[in-house]
Amino acid sequence: MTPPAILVEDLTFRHLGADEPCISGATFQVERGEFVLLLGPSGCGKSTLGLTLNGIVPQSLEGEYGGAVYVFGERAETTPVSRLAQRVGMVFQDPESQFCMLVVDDELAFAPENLNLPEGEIRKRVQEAIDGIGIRHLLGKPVTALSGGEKQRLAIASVLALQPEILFFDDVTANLDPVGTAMVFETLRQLRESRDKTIVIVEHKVDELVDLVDRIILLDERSQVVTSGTPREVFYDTDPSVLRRLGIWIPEVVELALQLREAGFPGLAAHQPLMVDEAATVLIRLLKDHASRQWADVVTPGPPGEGKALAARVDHLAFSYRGQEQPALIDANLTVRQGDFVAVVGPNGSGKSTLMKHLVGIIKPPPGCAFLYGVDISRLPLRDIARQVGFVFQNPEHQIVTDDVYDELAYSLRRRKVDKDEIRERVHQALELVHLEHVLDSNPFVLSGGEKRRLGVATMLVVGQDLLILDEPTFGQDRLTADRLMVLVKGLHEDGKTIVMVTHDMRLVAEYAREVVVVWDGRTPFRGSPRELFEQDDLLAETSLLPPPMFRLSKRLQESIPTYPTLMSVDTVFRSILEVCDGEA
Amino acid sequence: MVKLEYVPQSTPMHEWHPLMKLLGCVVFIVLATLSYDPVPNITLFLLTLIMALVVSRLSVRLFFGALLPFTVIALGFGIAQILFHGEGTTLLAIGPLSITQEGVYFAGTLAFRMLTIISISLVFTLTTDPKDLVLSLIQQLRISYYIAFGIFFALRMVPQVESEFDIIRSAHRIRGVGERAGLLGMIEEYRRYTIPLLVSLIRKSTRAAMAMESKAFGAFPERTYLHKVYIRKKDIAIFLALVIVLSAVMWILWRVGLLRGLILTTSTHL
Repeated sequence: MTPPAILVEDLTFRHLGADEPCISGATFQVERGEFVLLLGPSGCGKSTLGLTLNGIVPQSLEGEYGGAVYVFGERAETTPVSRLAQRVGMVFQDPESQFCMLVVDDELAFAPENLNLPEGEIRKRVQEAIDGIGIRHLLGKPVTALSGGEKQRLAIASVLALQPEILFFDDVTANLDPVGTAMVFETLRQLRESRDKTIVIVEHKVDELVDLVDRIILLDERSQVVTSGTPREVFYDTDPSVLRRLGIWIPEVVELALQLREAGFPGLAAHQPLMVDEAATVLIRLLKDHASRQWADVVTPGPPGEGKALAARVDHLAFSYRGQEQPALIDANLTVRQGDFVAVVGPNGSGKSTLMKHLVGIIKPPPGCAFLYGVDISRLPLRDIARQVGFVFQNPEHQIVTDDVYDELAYSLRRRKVDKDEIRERVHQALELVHLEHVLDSNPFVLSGGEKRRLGVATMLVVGQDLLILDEPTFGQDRLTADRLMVLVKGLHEDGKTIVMVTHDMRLVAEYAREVVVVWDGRTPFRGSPRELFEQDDLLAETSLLPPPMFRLSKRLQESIPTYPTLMSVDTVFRSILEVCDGEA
Repeated sequence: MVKLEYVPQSTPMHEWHPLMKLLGCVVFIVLATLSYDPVPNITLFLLTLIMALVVSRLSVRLFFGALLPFTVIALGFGIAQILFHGEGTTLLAIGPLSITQEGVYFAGTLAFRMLTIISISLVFTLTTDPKDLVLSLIQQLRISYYIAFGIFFALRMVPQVESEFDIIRSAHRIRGVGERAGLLGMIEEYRRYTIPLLVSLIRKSTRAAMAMESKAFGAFPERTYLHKVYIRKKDIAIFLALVIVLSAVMWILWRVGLLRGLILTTSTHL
């Protein structure tokens, strides 16, 4: 009998210096040729689990290791990494730090060169990898000149040159914009079709991925297997409360079906749909008797009226970074009224961040181009800008300036010579707001990813800024932590703060934003409500933006039920269907 | 800030074998160190400028941008020498300080010696593909590929450190770091950068190390190289030509009396 591709037996691992093990008692196996998705909460040790497959854990990253991992029957703990590397290829999250060479061609040859293969064989393997992934057009380019999606495809190709039998993908689309993500998923699709690799993947964007997956292994906080099976089995046969407790991302279509089932209408869930098209087909059948019905539309609150005062405005802003030929901004325009919730979307490199940097004065705008509460930003000292605008960076660690959470929050207040008692009061208020009271004395660097991000928001709140800019606030987080942060942001908005949020996540745009601005090629070709944006087929295609699943579902339903409203969130679709079904009962 | 990175171009300097080029630069450095008169050092410095701007066709802005901070330091050293050299024929006396002929002479030597060394090193850095340098270390000097690649990966991190530093600096500016003026403010500012920068660099280098290992780096004592560097006759010829030109220049300077000798050839030096 041939051994399975991967066999994990009662694996336990504690990182050196950590109090708790990050994996305790993981047991599962993966058959040859399978495509398996590992699904579990943030920090549950999925990445570490992946690193045990080629022996980096525990051979290079040491710690307390128990149990065993076998790769095609070879014990991963004791087989040299350099040998396992030929059987297990790894693609990591951060496209920047996984390249070894500077030019695409060198990167592709790097791995087989390490195997000391004859030149002819290396050239053959590199050629196969280029053809397999379709990256001929990238040859000769410096790695730094590639887009995020191109980088990840190069990373995959360069690993394929080792001719591994197993590929492990560790959240490879997390840093990518929609264009890049689509590119990588297309590559995954090709790999799956050829069926000669065993693929294990950790991924947050389940909506688009789920139809590729043979099997999901659902893990809990300590990487113990909760259940395992086909996506349909895992999503529809697991107790929904367990799925929620784990805080994992599940496809919106599944979410809708589960909510309907819990409300007493199992019709959709009975068909176990995963994709929008499947759900649409079932729903059209279920709702066909109501085709002519007058559906209640959901009125989403629009942006605050023209009468509201301006929080920020950008007029015909152009900007080029020194030493770069291509301008970062050509003609950018932005209007943010007080109390608005604006989403800024667009591919990486389109100029979103550059635009935001002008609003906070990191880049000084030229006179007459950018205004904060009516005052020309070019005339404001950084200090005054910081009093009015809070900016939460994508990586919250970049903003940390002290050694404990209390000081971190008190820092800006102390700089402003606020009196001691007031500082204490305001810090405690802020901590309460972001639910971080329990880590008051901790070093900010040891907080979890979600906590760090909430701390980042809090440090921007204590000073009392009214305008808050968030750069990809939910990036790389599981559902629970992302939801928690968005609830916080939503609460701030309801309390009257003005929010500007840069994001790639159309679900967030649909659910929270009142207005969207698309940044594309240094210009701002669109400004309007999320719904209006999702109707712009040409613009969406050009910018590779994909409307959220529920919007697409509504559109599909409208083909057969013309009166069906255009809805964008699980909640609204759920209520519209519930209303009909309740009426029947 | 000017980035000190290799810029691909095709000039004889760029295509020169890295080790021969290194040897050529060493000749410059040795001559600059051994000659203790200002004119030879000025001449050597001018020759490095010709190497940079004419032979290597480096961008004037890039090159002088990189050289500028060092020029300031060299000037500082020079002025200090002029003011405090003391002994010798006084040209001008300001209170307790006396500017002497010997002081000016020595200051000129010192400043241009520094500039020559920095300038030729910049020429080397800006015209040499780090990959070719590493490959020549491995293929010609037989240095272990672990060590040679170690150097290469460290060099590769430099631009990443720079961009990471820029991000952290803007992130901190928003928090109000760097508002305090003066030296104390600057010290405080940089102190606050260190931990985030270190954390992020350790993380990045750990990731890079994992990526290398995952690509079977170090699997065998030997590895293959698709790209090979050879020392061609041309590379040696260029080196010899350089040595001849420099010797001729030094000889002429000696004949006209502007070069008293080299530290090795004379026993009387400053």
